[in-house]
Amino acid sequence: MTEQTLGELVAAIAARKVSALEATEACLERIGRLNGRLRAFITVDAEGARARARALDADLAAGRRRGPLHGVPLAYKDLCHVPGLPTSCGTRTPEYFVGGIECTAVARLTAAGAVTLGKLNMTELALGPFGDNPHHGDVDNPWKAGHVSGGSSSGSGAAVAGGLAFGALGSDTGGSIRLPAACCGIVGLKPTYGRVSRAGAMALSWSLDHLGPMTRSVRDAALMLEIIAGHDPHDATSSPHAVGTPSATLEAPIRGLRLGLPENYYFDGVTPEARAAVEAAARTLASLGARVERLRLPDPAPLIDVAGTLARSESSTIHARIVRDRPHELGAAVRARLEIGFHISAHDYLQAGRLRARLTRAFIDEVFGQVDALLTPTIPEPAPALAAATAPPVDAIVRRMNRFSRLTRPFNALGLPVLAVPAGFTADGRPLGLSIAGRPFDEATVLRLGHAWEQASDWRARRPPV
Amino acid sequence: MTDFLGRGTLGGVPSSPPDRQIQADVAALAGAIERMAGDLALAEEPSSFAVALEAGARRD
Repeated sequence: MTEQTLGELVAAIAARKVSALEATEACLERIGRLNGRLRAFITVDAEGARARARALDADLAAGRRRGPLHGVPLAYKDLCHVPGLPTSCGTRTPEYFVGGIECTAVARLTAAGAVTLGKLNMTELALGPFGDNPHHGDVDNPWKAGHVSGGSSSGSGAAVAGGLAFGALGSDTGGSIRLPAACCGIVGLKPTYGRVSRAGAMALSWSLDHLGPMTRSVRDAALMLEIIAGHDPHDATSSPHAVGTPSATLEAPIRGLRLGLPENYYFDGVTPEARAAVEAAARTLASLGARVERLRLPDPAPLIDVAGTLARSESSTIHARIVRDRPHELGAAVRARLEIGFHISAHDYLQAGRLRARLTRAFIDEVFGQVDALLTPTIPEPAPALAAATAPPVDAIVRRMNRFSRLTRPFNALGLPVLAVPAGFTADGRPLGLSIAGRPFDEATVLRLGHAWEQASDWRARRPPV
Repeated sequence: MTDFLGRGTLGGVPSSPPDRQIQADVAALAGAIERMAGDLALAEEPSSFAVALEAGARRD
């Protein structure tokens, strides 16, 4: 049962072929059997999930369907505040994130009928792309033991790939949804900035944070997006722009869509197999009628500097207290990255914000005047061995972090929607990743393209050996 | 800023001199921002980012 997609489970529950409790028990059985190896969950709320599932089954028996996710077991990155459960944010402190309101995205999924299985492991304070965590254990890659699961939404990636949950929420400040999606061979959507409320989720950088779905199919991502998107009075940055129903247009032809393959930056230093996977996807999409062209993008280097200035300034402001009071609790690389922000001037921080506006406007005008979407690799190489990625000294770790996330970070500065989808596997079984970036608020097009690629390829039939 | 003991603080965090790597990282970011910001229009402000996203959305 846990090999089904979220959409397939919704249909099975609605048709009374399976109950919410049976689906929940199937997930809990896999969590019990596999979490010792994957370390995907920090908190498992087994009794809460069972009680909720029983109530949902009773509702359905009485003819009441709570919503489009009635009975679907989901799990949430441990920076989403879920009433009654601790929120460690990957730190040593179980109740690190307190005093907030219920995470709006979680509340909307719950209102739609989802069952909460628990809270998912993550990189400490969401600061890192490898999925290591000194307090809750390193999240392992379901496809290849001892390898990077991707971060910071590492538990979300491993739980969904491993069949421990039918879908998850992640957050993305520099690639933290897309990197674990790519490393774990699943789908991850970083929506447009403002598309999904961030209320009730720990902030790392107000300017760059995004919440989004992590799932086993593109359709599942579309279904979750439709539920969590939309204006929220608790998040001043949330947009009133209507999301519509992207799941309803997934099957629309992609003929005539213009796709761009960047000539600069996005293939520099990328391994041959990661490059070949994206080019193969581009050929497949072209065979379906899309027009693929190579184009030179505005230099992403300024975006990296702008995002770095904003992220370092804001993260050190938000998390100043733990740096001041309990610095010994933080991992060395996390502490080093937070400390930079204390030394950035207000002048440079504000200039970075102004530059971001100009760079974004110029990028949208120039690029989306030529194409409807961009195709890039998500990760520059398949998931490396975790021990190699996290080997000291600290400045070497930080350099490796920056290199591994160099393809995702520009899109956080730009705020554009990006869908990460699997793009095949290396000879030794590690997933490769394709990213599809679109114009602002056009998640429907990137999801349509991702669905077309998914249907034309056979990657979804493969399962990790766990 | 100084605290009540006269020690330097930054955002409430003791401002012991940053190590060389942090100094280098901060200087690199500051230099990049300075080079790019020279010709920013007076009217440009951080909130223009959200305006750019809304303006860049497809109009069907």
